[in-house]
Amino acid sequence: MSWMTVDGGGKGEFRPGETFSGSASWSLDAQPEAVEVRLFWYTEGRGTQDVGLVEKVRFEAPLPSERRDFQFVLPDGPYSFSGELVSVRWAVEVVAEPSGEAQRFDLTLSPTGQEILLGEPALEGQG
Amino acid sequence: MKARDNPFATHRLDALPYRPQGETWEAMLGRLEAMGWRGAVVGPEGTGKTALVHDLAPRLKARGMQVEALRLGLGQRTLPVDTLRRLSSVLDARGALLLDGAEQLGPLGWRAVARSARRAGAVVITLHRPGRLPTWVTCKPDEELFLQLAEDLAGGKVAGLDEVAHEAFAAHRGNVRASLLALYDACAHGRLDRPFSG
Repeated sequence: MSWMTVDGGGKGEFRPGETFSGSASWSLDAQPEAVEVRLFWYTEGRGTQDVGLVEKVRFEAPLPSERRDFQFVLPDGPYSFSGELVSVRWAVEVVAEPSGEAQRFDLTLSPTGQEILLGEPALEGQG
Repeated sequence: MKARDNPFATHRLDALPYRPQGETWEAMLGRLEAMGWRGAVVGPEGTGKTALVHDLAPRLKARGMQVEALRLGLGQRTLPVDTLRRLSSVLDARGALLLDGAEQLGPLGWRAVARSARRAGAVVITLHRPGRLPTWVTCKPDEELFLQLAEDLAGGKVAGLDEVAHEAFAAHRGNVRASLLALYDACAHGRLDRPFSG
């Protein structure tokens, strides 16, 4: 049975400009042509889903079972947030080609490292 | 409720599989084969045509076909010339063209597509009304199916769901997608209790 994992060393909350240092591991039934790790944001909500690929790292002709480390410098935005109509979320995914097997790690990106909730009052002393 | 937690968010609607009405996928594919792999999925907006074509693609691929799937936007009367050229070159006996929204094409636009796909092993289009290709599947508004989809998305029985869903289905005249988005609004505005499973 094949599997893939990707994680950020136990950290899931990030501020703009911070570095995401992660590792991707996999054990696949067949040797992949490539394994790609992608940093992206995506929307969820009432409207058509939108996705923005920010950066990717590609490992050509890897072994069927391997672990690779990678780094992404997180951009200024968009921030992770949720309102009633739309949420913006961030994730890092690892994808094997051509099989399409994939795994995802969710993270948050904002000045506080936490998801911004629209319509919620700001805490005293903040913003 | 956060948008990402709303059970009727569009990414969840888009992931709903087509549910054949009164027959199996095998039977449907058997009929399409008997039609020479050329047919139209006919029905009003929001009745499952796009979901059907989406779920047809992997079934044709499993039969060794190379699938070209295109979706026409509102008012798109023709396909770009380079797209037509590409279709002509890739659609051979093992090629399948799935064209969602073929009612948008004008008569000349449809003729150009039909010419480009003349050697294709399969051509399936969606239309609001019968025509252009023999009807393969007719999609109709079905409130019982809509209520089942709503309940599945909500994760089980939810207080008030049946009533709000019935209102939405009537208000949107059987357009399932529009009705499910009305349930999104109802959830966002607290007209429905939080979904629960079981």
